[in-house]
Amino acid sequence: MSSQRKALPKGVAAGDFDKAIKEIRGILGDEYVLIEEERLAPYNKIMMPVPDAQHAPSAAIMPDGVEQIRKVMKVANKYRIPVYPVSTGKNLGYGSAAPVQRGQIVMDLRRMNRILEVDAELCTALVEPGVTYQQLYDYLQEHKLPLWFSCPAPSAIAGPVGNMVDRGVGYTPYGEHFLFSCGMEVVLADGEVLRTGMGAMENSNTWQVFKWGYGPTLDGMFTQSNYGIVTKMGMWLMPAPPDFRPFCIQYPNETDITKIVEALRPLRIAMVIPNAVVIAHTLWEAPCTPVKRADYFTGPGAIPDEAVKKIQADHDIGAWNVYAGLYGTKETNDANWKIIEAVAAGTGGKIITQEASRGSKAMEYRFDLMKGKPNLGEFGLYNWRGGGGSIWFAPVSQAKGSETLKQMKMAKDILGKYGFDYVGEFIVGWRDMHHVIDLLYDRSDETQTKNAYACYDELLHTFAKEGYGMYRANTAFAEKVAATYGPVKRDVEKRLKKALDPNNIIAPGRCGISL
Amino acid sequence: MDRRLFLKGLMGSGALGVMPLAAHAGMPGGGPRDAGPVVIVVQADLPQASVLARSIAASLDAAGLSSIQLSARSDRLGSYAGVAAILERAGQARLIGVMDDASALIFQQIAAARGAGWLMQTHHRIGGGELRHCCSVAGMESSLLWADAPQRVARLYAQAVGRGRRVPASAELAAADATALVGGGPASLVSFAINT
Repeated sequence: MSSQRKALPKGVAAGDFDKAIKEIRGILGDEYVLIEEERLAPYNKIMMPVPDAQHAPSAAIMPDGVEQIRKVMKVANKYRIPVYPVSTGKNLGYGSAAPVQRGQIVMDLRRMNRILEVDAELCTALVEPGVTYQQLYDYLQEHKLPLWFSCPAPSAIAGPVGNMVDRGVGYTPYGEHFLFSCGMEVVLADGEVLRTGMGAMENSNTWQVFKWGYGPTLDGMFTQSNYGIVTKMGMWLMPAPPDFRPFCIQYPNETDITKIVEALRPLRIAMVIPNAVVIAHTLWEAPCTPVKRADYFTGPGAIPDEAVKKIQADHDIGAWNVYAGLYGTKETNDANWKIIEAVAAGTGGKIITQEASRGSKAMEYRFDLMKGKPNLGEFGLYNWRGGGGSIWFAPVSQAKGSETLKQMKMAKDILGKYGFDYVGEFIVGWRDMHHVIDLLYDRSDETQTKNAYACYDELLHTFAKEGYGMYRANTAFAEKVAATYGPVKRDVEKRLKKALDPNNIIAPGRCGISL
Repeated sequence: MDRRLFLKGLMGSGALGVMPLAAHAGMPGGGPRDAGPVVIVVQADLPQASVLARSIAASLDAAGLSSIQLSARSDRLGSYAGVAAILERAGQARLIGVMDDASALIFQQIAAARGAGWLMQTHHRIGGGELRHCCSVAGMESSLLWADAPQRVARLYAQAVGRGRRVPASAELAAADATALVGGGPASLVSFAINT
């Protein structure tokens, strides 16, 4: 097929593109090289407030292993054609499977979906990028292995390699996912295959148990970057605790966030509460309950506070809803439960146990996530406003009450100015918090789409002025977010890119890195 | 796809027989997809979805295309196992979905991961006096917006899965159904067509 009407990669002539595709077909087989509109369209489905055309791929290719990727890299270098690797491509609010720049070839690694090893004694796994959390969960169930993993909210369809490489988070004690990865295999732009940590040694059996190896630790370089294609990753699994006790504590007022954080931080740092605590706002809980926005507000602009209060009252939802769990033996959990009860009583919170939560869909999916059981409960968010528009705004804050209240107010003011609701949550790391806001808008409405772009832009720059940086960003704003981190860091990133990928063929523009 | 041709087809004026969705005739997916009935998956607990699905089925029928309807509640459409089971049952087929935003996103993502091709999607803002459709079609780089009676949507789907087959104008949404769709409470709804 001629490439006359294709979204060609920048600077690549149609003739060269056709030649490259022909050569890649020779490597992968016709079936795994997609250029037909119907087959490419799923890779171009985005939720960001920019035209689809801005992120249209020229083709999608599906290699089945490292050797095929190495050969494709040779072709890409020869014709200077950029490839955009995705594992499962379900990073929806951050850009999904669409390439960061128009015309890049999506390298879809879904066929590389082998669970290569699970060591039940050491509690480790080695997986390929196409493995989904659901697949890993099913594997552990099928083999009756009492092991848990941490997964993000869209877990049933997302995968651990992609999420770890993007430094995503989950909700178990292993919730900071990259922290619990151990060992990578990476295909570099020149086709070399690097194994990080102990994996660099032949015959090592410690690749998945000791992260560092000898000399500089390189793994971090391959996260949120475009220096290589991660083809295998080790991850640590958590032994299922004898006793798991999830709970929710609800608070009635938005300003309660200050005392919530002050009360929880010491418990989190001391690991009395070992998991990534979530503090979810009413409007995060409501769509997943589910509550319809239109039942409470149909006017223009952001939903008023009075309507939010009514939702809280009608559906027993807190202004803030704290989700956490105790993981241990019955004896340790009994002891720690007394601490939790005391904290809730001292801060005016209402505890809801798993038993008391029966019938609540929002709590059910949260409690499942806290034990690493994949589900899709959080997709209810997309019914809140409807129209398919969503971008995650995700600044980091200190785990201090005053900081979180400040961030929440800043975000709510800016969102309201553009007519959007504050749909946010804080995910507590150990000393930081990921403040995640889902900017939900109607993508079929041109005005809302323009406003969503302008709103994100203002959020980004206002937060940056206050010293708050993003932990993750959607591909449409990658360049702008990278710019907030200053010129020196960017210059070093560029020098690394030049050294490792001089032809700029792996996802140029990803996280703002390009030559 | 040529935007001018698509618009011409979209706006009717007796030209629906030469709908640009005929462009899909050149797409892969012969065999069972062409031979079997079109599968319409409808969200059972969303009344507007049932109305629109009924209209689409009528248009398919008018175009000489058989269809079968699978109804599923939102909890089934919101689970991996539920959607996977529906896709298994559909097999290799032309499938039209009518459901809420979250379910439509989940359904299409799971279908895409299994290699489904994507033809078109329409977002509908209906009820409360509002009636707006926003349609995206594979190969068209911008979406099309229009606001009129929903029967045109039904005919578009018949043409999309019928590879440009002519749909007689008699296949209209019943007036009562149109009233039910527009006169209800405000709702957001998604319809889409894929090749599984």
